[in-house]
This record gives sequence, C-alpha cells and structure tokens, in this order.
Amino acid sequence: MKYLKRGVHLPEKKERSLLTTNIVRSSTPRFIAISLLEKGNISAVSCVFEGDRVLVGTKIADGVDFKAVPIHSSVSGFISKVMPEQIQIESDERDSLDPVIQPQLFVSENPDELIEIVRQAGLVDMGSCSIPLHMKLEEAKMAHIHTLVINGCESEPYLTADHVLMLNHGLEILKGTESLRIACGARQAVIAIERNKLEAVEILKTKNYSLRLNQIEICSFPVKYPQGTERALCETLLERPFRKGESALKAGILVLNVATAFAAYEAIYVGKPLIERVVTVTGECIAEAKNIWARIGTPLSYLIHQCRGLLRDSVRLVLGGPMTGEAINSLDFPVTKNTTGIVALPVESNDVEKEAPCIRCGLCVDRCVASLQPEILVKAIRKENFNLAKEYKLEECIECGVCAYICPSKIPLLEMIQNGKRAFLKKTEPAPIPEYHDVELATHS
Amino acid sequence: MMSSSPLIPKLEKIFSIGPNPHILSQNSVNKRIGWNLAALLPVWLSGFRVFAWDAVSIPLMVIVFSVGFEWLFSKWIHKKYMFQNGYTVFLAILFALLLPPEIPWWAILVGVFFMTIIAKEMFGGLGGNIFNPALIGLAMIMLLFPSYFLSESGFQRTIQIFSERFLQAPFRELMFNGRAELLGEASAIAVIIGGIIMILSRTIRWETPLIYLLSAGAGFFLAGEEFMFRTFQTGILFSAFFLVTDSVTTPITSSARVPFLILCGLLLVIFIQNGLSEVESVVYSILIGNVLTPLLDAVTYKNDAISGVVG
Repeated sequence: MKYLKRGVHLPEKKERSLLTTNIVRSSTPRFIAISLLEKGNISAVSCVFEGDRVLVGTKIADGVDFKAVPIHSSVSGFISKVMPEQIQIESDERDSLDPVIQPQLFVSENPDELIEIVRQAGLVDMGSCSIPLHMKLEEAKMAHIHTLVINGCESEPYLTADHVLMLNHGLEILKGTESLRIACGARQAVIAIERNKLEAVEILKTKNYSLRLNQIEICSFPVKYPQGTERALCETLLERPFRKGESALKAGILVLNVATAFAAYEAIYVGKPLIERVVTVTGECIAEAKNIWARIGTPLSYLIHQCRGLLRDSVRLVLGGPMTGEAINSLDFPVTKNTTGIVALPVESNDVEKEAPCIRCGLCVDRCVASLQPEILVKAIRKENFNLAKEYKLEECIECGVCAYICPSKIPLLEMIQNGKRAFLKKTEPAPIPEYHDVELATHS
Repeated sequence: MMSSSPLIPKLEKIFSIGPNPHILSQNSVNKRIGWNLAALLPVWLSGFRVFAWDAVSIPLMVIVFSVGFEWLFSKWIHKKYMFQNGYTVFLAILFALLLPPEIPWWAILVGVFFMTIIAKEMFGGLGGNIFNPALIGLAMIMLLFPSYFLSESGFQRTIQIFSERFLQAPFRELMFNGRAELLGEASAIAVIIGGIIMILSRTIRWETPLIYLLSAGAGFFLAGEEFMFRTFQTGILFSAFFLVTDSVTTPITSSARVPFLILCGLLLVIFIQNGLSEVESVVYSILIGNVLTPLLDAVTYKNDAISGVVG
C-alpha cells in the first residue's frame, strides 16, 4: 500500500488523557444551552415553549428544511429560554428518558429507512465539519460509491476521543459501520486507524472475527499528520493522487468519523438521538486530563470544572485539535455536535517572538499534502496578486496547518492563506446566472 | 448562569487567542544558522592545523569588517534590525574559508564590501539576496586581484598541478593534509564532518551534496579524468556541503533542485577542464546556477503539483 509521503511527525502528547482508557460519565450539568446554528446560519426552529417539560431525547427543534437535522434535549427538565439561535434548558437532574429511547426489536436493512432514522436522530458528521449525516449518505448513494471509510486515525496531537471510543465500544462501532455501509450502498467499508492505536486495531479485529461482518476491513496506517484528513485517506486507499478537480465522492469514497459510526449504532439499534459525545479535555494546563461523555450543550466551563480546573492563569484554550482547532476567549461556549476536544495549551506553545524573513528552505513545499507552494502563495497574497495565487492552486489548500507548523521563520502561512482564500472568494463572487433557459426555449419554439 | 469555580478566575482575561496551528515546531532560523556555524567549525580548526595563525586572523578580520559594514549601512538607511539571526557571522566565516592565506587586508576589505553591502544588504538582507553573497565577494576579489588565485596558470598549468599533486598523491594525504591553497581546504575529512553535522541536524538534505558530487563525478568521468580523485577535492566537497546547500539562493522545489545541482556540477567540470582554477570554477558555476534559480522554480512548479503520495 502507498502511504502518505508528505506531512509531518508531530509530538503526539496523547498519554495524559490515556492514563485511564475508560470514558468518564460526568454528572448532569444544571443548565445547558443548545445551539441551533450550523456554520453561522440558523438550521433549526424551536418546537417547544418556555416552561415546557422535556425528557432526555425529546425533540426540541426541527430542521428548517430537508437538509437540516432536528435537535433533541440532552437532559430532562424545563425549557428556561427560547431564542432563535439557542435553547436553554434547566435540568432537574433526574435524567428521565424519553420513551423513544429503547432497544429496537427490528433493525432495518433498507437504505432509505436507515437514512430517515439517522436524520430523525439528528446525526451529523462528527469529524471537523458538522454536515448532516443523511445529506452525506444521500450524496454518496447518488454517486454510487464503492467504499465507506470510517476514519479512526485521529492524527491530531492531544486528542484521544476516538481512540477510547474504539477501545470501549468496538462492537457498537462495527455494527454502526455495517448499517452505514448498507445505508450508503457501498460494497465495502474500511476502518482506518493509525499505528499508535494498535490495541484498538486488535480489539476491532477480534470483535469482527465473532461478528463476521466480511465487508468490513480494518486497516492500520503509519502515524503521520495529516493522515486523518479526507484527501490523505482517499489518496492512500486509492494508491494514487487525486486528479484535477477530483473529490472523494467522485473517486467513490465516503469518509465518516468513528464517533459518527457509534452514534449511528445508537440511533439505529437503541433509537437514541445524538445527545452526547466523547470530548477529550486535555493539554498541559488541565489539572486532570480526561475523556468525558459530554451532553450536547454542556458549557465548557462545566467540563473544565469536572477536570479540576486549569493550572495556570494564562492559557490558550483550543476547541478541537491544536492544528486545526479554534482558539476561544471565553468558557461560555457550549459543547456542540462536532466538538472533539478542549485542549488547554500553555501560551508558550505558540510563542512567536518575531517573524523572520523567509529563507526559502523549502520545508513548506516539501511537506505540503496538497502539493502546493505555500511560500509563493503567501507572497502572492501579500501583494494581493490573486491571479498568481490562483495559478498556484490556492483553492486546493486543505488548511491542515503543516506549513505554518514546520516553518523555521515562524511565518503565519496558514493564516495568510486563509485570509487570502476569503479575500479571493469575496472578489470572485459568482455572478447571478442569466436565464439562458428562457432564451433557449424562446428560440426553439 | 454557571457555577463559578475558584480555579477559574477572571474568565475574560486569561485566554490568548490567535490563528491555528496552536503548536509550532522547534525549527527556527537561528537554530539553522547555529548548526551551519557549528558545521563550519571543524573546517576552520583544520585550517588552523595547516596555516597556523593566518587561519585565525583572516576569519576574525572578515567578521570585524562585515559586522562594521553592516552596522554602517544599517545606520545609513535607518534599518531596524541588524545582524539578523547571526547570518552575517556565518557568511563572514564562509567567505574567510574561501580565501587564500596570503591575501592582504585591503583585498579582504574590498571583498567584504561587495559581499555585505552589494550582494546582501542592497537586496534586502537575509532572504532577499539572489546571489550567494560570499561568492559575489570572492568573485570580486578574483577579478580585481587575480594574482592571489591560481587562474593565471592556464590549461597546461592546471593539468600539471593536478597531475603532480593529486593523481600521484596518496589518498590519505588528500584526506588529511590536502594541497591547501585556501583556508577551508586543509582537510577533506573536516569538510565531510561539517557536512555530516548539517545532514544530521537536518539543516540540509542529504540528497543535495550527493547529486552535486555525482554530477561532477559524471562530468569528470565523461572528460576522461580520474573522476574519484578529482571529485573528492576538498574545494569541491566544500562547495557541495556549504555552497550549493544555501537555501536562499537555490531552488525551493525538489524537482527544480535536481536540474540546478546537475547544472552546477557539469559547469564546474567544464570550467575546470577549460583551465580555470578550482575555486574560480566553483564560484562561477554556482553564481550561474543562482541566476537560473527563479527560472527553474517557475518552470518546474507544475511538475511538482502532481504527487502527494508515493510508495
């Protein structure tokens, strides 16, 4: 098999949150705030009123259209406030279950039914971007894909949420994978795991030996960042680089996360909607690093409180992995469906004293997974020469952050490229398509 | 709304925000130049073994001159940062090791002026220069004061020197006490140790000197020379490890670096075969390569954008 040639070896630093491999179930938070936003747009409309009593798993908001997913309460209690972008719930700490959640006697094997179950359960792709899962499955079914890839690479340093999930819930992940494979119509499914998680590979292989799901293959890949990105996974499995303008779906591959497979199992076999997920709370500045089952909507301060707080006064708090995650300046944010972890880094880890001039060492060019030339892109963006940037394939950047990590001059390459992409998109806003259709009809008739 | 913990004080003040990635590698320009300096050290020490105090006084003189020139220039144009990342000192030692020991101080002054002011500062300092500044300084000295280098000899003389000194000289002598006309040429072993330091510290790629030496060796082979002995001359080794590996003035993509190195190696052989001395050939072949660097980069970027995965 051909493996990722480019990319970097990062210091993993996963051992802190792997001290115990069990997933801690925290006590129920008193207040939760569930966001109705998806990528800044309101994607669901509340179907409850202030003062209503809700149970764990009760639907509290419905998607605005077929593309959006409904949203469920993750605690039992009373609705305290309904806002267009957020619903706040006060918990009664009893955690009474909605009667919807019960083991299913009959597990469907019809793709359309499975997709509908997944939609009703409010599942999204729990990797980095929270695209509704049923949309991904539908698209994959339309594209007649041949392989479903369940991504358990977790190549980001610090994060261990997927790792402990595979260790503790291998059986569920395998069953969920099989259901998702049927739903998207793929011939085979591959669970991709990096070699620093060989025990997870063994556990899944053993469980699959007894389950006899022959279409599922468990592969181990060498440890390298960014092996876990969609593009790197597809190129590794296809054993060839993408052609120009090729996407994963066009190549016949759908990539989903391990956590998604587990959530799909829960939705299909237990009828449980997506109300909680594993969140890694780690980093040098956390007193006790843990993997926690966090309810969707739990405020981050509550999670950090569960981990005995922060060790320092000045930290950099990152939502997600340290390479692609977002630095946040407040603990008021709630856990969302795609929160993989909270990493509290010491401020020194990103200590850029002064940006040195580029010495053209070529490391960014050598390591870039998309085979771009970040150095020239940044030069072009600084001069606002977007034609040159486009010529050097600015839009193909997958924003993994390898170039900025490796740069000896500490040039913020990724930030510049992101800014450039944004400015470039603004400049080339697609013009409204003229109504050629009508003109054609007129001439033909 | 949330229960406040004594462990989380002053929530709005403590978080630093910034762009991702939030972790950075330990790489830095200072470290790279530090390793370069460390790699030059054995070469310098081996020069001391052959040339005694000349090997100390000349590099020190070059350092003082180039620091002085840079200080004056920075004052003149009100530049904020001086002596960026120790690059000045590195260049000065590199330049000094390419000088013959009998060179007078005024020739050094002229060479350092061209190196520091013309070739480096006028292009914008570290990272902006098109030519290797040390080679520009050396080329100027060679043009203005040719008598200190071996170039007046011509074809006959060169062949004679080489046949006398190297082809019959035992390999051991070549490796430890070479012919040593320049300060940096005292010992091939010292140069190789310096190269290994740079390769192990990942300051340079191991392919770079290898391709260069292979291409030069192939050139000598095609010219019908004793290519093993000719290729492992200390001067050629020095250029393979310290001159063609300079990142600023060589191509940035790997696919452009290969033709660059092959070109430099072949030009070197052509110049040597046509009667130029070894230093001159090294200097001019690499300067010509530097000129072609932007062109090679521009031509090869399309080829580079094909493969992300390899077996």
